[in-house]
Amino acid sequence: MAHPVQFKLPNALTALGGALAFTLLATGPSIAQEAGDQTGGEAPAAESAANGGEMTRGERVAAEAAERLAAGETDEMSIGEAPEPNAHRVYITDPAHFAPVTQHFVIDADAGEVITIFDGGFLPHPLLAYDGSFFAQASTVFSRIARGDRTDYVEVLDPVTFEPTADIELPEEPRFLIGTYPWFNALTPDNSKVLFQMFSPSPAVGVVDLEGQESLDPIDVGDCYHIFPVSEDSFFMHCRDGSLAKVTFGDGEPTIENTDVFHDEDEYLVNQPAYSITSGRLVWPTYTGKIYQMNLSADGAEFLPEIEALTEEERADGWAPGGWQQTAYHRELNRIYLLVDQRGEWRHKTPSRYIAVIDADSGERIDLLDLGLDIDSINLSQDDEPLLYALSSGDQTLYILDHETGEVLRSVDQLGHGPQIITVSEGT
Amino acid sequence: MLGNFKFDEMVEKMSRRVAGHTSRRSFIGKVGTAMLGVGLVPLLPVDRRGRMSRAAAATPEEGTDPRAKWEPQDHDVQRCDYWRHCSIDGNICDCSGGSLTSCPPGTKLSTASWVASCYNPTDGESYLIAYRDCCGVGMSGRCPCLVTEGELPVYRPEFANDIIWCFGAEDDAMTYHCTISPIVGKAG
Repeated sequence: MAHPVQFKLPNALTALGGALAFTLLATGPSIAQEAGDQTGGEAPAAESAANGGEMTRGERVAAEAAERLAAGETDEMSIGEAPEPNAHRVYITDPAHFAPVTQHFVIDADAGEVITIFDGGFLPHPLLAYDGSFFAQASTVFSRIARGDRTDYVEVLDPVTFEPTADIELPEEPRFLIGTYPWFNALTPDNSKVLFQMFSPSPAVGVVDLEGQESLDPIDVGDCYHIFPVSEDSFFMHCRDGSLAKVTFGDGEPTIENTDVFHDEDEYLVNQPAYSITSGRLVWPTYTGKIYQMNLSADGAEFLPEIEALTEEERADGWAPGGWQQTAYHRELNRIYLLVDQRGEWRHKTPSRYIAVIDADSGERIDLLDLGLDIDSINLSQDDEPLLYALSSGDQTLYILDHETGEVLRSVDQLGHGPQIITVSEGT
Repeated sequence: MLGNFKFDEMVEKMSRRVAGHTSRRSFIGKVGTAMLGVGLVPLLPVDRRGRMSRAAAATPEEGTDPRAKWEPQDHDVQRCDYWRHCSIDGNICDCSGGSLTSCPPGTKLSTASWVASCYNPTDGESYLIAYRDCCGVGMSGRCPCLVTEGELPVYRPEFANDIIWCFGAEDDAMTYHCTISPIVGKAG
């Protein structure tokens, strides 16, 4: 066995790194010039010119590093922290066409930049505290990537360090594995419990106490789906028969009360309604663009007059809603945003190029924004300077839009393989 | 509606309701037309409804309009508009080492299946296809299809396309890889 070289690796790496950095910095201009020669010699000059003669970011950090080196200092390396979350932070979830590993992208929509990226398992469900104070996910992993022992769990992450602050394993593989619908899992309004949809062996709602970090007894809910919390111990669901069910749990046996049936069985409600947990407004379009609205509270459900997003003539011309996360609602503006386009029958999950903007009270269509892009999912920030978010799964790009005009203000590309979900906080 | 629906009993019960004239709001009755053992397939009514949209974000084939009405062709089995894929909403196994009737090596075959009636433009006949999932290996990524003919919302789970229907696969494999499209009879 040969004798190993006797030196301390970290020191050696530091020295090597310093030497390399010094060499690269010292030769930087000549290397850049050579590269420029190969590409016509215009790139660096053009970049500086585009900045009004100011240094580019690349030039500036190189100059700063050179200054530090001249003073005998090398670059300090660190792990970054995200800024405190605000109303314009966006989480994009990419299930990568149902791959065993999912990516969540954290985006600063004001800057149009990725803050960080972290992982989930198979079809994880993103859950953002309503004030943005933590991010949680209900997720599933397997011991051998796509096979082996299955573990379902709820994980909570700090929104600045993105270190886990809680990891709660769920018993008996309870999660309903399905394409992610934002209101299939939900936090209670006080952010204290995760409610998640179960399906096998029978439909139920699982409950995870985040404060106690434990999984509680699931609630049998019969043939009902989606979860719209209204208090710390009650939520609404939509049932197969066309009614809503109010489920109350906590101490004692859960109780379930159904409303009257509110839609015909041949009126198909989309899988992605919009819901404001702050105001209790539930906005639920059908495949044809009829919109049902309810105000939900612990006292019950108030059904509002129905709205048609599209005129009869438009529907006859093939206009219909379509996409993945098709519906958004802004609480203060009281506006509904719905992805629509002309499409063949049964093409309700293909992307749309237009957003219908509708006054939620009058039903008046305020605008039909022509995005000129194939958009799968939309959402809005809920502050008083709202940004409209439009996600293209095909382009793997988030477009950040002016909510009034639909103008693209910024975009963030390279968001995985097939990003589908836009998650924003309720707070301002 | 709060029934006593038990998923584990679904496959057994549905086989007894294949001709179900029950309301679509009767869950078990319609599940019977959605998931079934292969041996029962020839008894089933014709149904063109779609299935899971695991490829919901699939990029459409270049040059095609993603919103255009789906029209079947009969010459290229690896394209989403091949007539036997009229209700496939996932990945075609023929593109990843399987075929129209066999799973790729190393995957697990689910026991649940979905039946649709697909029209063959060559002979003008419709055939029953019992789609089966190949599971236990990550998403193939090859030949993704998003065909949602007749696909209904999740509160009609038997017709909902986004559910992982790997139930019953060997080793409890619950990750989706691709779908095969075996013919089990003539429709009508």
